[in-house]
Amino acid sequence: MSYILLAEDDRSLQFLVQRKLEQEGYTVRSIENGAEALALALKERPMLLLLDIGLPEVTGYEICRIVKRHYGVQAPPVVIISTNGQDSDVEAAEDIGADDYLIKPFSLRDLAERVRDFMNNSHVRQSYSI
Amino acid sequence: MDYSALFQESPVPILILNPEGVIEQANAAAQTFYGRPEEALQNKSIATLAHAESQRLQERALRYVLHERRSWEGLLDQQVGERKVRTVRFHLSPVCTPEGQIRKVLCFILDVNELVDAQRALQRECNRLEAVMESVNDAIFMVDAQGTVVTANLQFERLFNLPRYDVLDRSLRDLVGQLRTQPSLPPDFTNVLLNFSGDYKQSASYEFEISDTARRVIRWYTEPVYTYDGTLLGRLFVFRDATHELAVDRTKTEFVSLVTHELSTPLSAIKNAIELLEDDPESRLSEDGRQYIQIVYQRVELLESLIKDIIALTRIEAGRIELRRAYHPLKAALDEALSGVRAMIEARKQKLYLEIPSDLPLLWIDRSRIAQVFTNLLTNASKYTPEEGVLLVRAARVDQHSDLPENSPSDVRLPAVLVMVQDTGIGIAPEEQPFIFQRFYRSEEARRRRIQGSGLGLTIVESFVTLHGGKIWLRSAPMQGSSFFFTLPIVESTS
Repeated sequence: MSYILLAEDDRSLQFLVQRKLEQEGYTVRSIENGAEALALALKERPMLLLLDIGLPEVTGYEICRIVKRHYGVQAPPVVIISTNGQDSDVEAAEDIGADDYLIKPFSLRDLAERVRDFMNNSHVRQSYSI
Repeated sequence: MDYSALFQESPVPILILNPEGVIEQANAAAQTFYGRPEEALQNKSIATLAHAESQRLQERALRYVLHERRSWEGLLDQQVGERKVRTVRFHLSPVCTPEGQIRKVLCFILDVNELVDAQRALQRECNRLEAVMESVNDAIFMVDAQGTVVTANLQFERLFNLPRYDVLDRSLRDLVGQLRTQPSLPPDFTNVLLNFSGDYKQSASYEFEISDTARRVIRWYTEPVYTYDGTLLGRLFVFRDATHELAVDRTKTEFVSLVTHELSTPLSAIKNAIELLEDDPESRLSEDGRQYIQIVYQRVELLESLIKDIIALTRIEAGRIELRRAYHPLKAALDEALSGVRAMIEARKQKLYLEIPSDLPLLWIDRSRIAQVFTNLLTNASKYTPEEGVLLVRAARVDQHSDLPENSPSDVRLPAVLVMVQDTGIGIAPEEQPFIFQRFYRSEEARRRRIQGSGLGLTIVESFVTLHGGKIWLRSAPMQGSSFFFTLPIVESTS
């Protein structure tokens, strides 16, 4: 599906990130609950997943791990959103195949830039994998 | 021979008693000692000279001498003035007729008051030391210069489950032998302990775990012990149960982590809302409004860096910093830092010069940590330099100690890349320089000028540089700017 799945349980932050990405021309679906986000990601295969780590019910890590395994080479890129400076988080994110991570507090300009990179690359990747 | 002269002139106080123990004669020294003329002493029972507390003992001593017709010697307190008491070595000696009848009793009085006082003081000191040893929470034992265990306290018994009388007067080797029979003690520990047998030079500290009913972490250190005049006394071993303190540390780290974690999300929301507001072409912000927003944004960034510093410091203190090293050019770390601090430098209209040779070797570093080193040093440089001042970052490869700048520490690991971050700011007074790497330390001048800062930046810088095997130092003078130097050892890639 041609939308970005944003899983973030802080409503203000969710609203702001969604608004920025919409300004950039993307369609965004925001979800607060980890389990719901996972169900949706498995059902519809979003273009990109932006996952906060500390989600209710299912963590961002879990979602990333399962989505990556489920879709294999066709898996969408995943950006993990972690809090300030938790190195172990960053390492764990890499271990489960996350493509990038952002550390809160992050800059929306930076976020938009990274998403843009992924969207451009994911076209390339998709055309290879077909 | 005139024995009476000998008696009279003897420097030792002597009394001559009749067979009933009554004083007949007292020599000059005795009169001086008791502070009474002979008449005042004559016809008195010897027992009356004793201090009240010694009286009964003195009477018993006299009875013993008279009945047994044998000498007696012992310590007694004598009343020598109204309020003066002195301890003496009292010697009673019977003088008998050939038939064994007592004719006289000679009484020699040796004033040993000072000696006894000193002994008592010594004893008190010993008792105090022993009490301290027994009541400290650390397990302590000590070997003398011959390697014999001479001291072990109560905590030692508890920690090692070993009666101290089984180890006292034995060698360190014997002690280790006994400890090795205990399965809860790791062999590494006993091996290390044995290494100190015969070694009276090294100081060292270690940690080991005891794995009996509950897991305990023991931190210990050992040091040679010398007297003030440099005589070797032996080697001291001190063990502390650090289980609780580690748990507290962990709680603290978790707490800080939780707090900072909880702060990060709202902080991100504030920052992002401002960004959207700034980037929104339709927002009708006045010029003032734009400035207010700028102020909020700057303060958020300040909070952000403070949180980052607190997290870093907590980890440094908990010893939980792990470097994620790879080969990077120094420039990569510097660029990462510059992307953050350039705005500040530009806002302060300062000039930044970079002199980084292009042929520097790659460095085996954690890029983001070294970036933080640059960030903190450059932030300071800019902060403490007036507007329109000049900042300089210079780097060079150094292979020999003679190529280091004048005031460099002697133990710099070479070859290394030497970095200098120089400013033209307010400088640091010489007497403050030793303290500036301590956490929360702020210089007098920085406080006076109300320049903001947490006093954590340099603490973090120092520990990151040290973790990389480097050294950091500075050269500075008030109002003449500061130059911070740090080194990063060049580690050749093995592949």
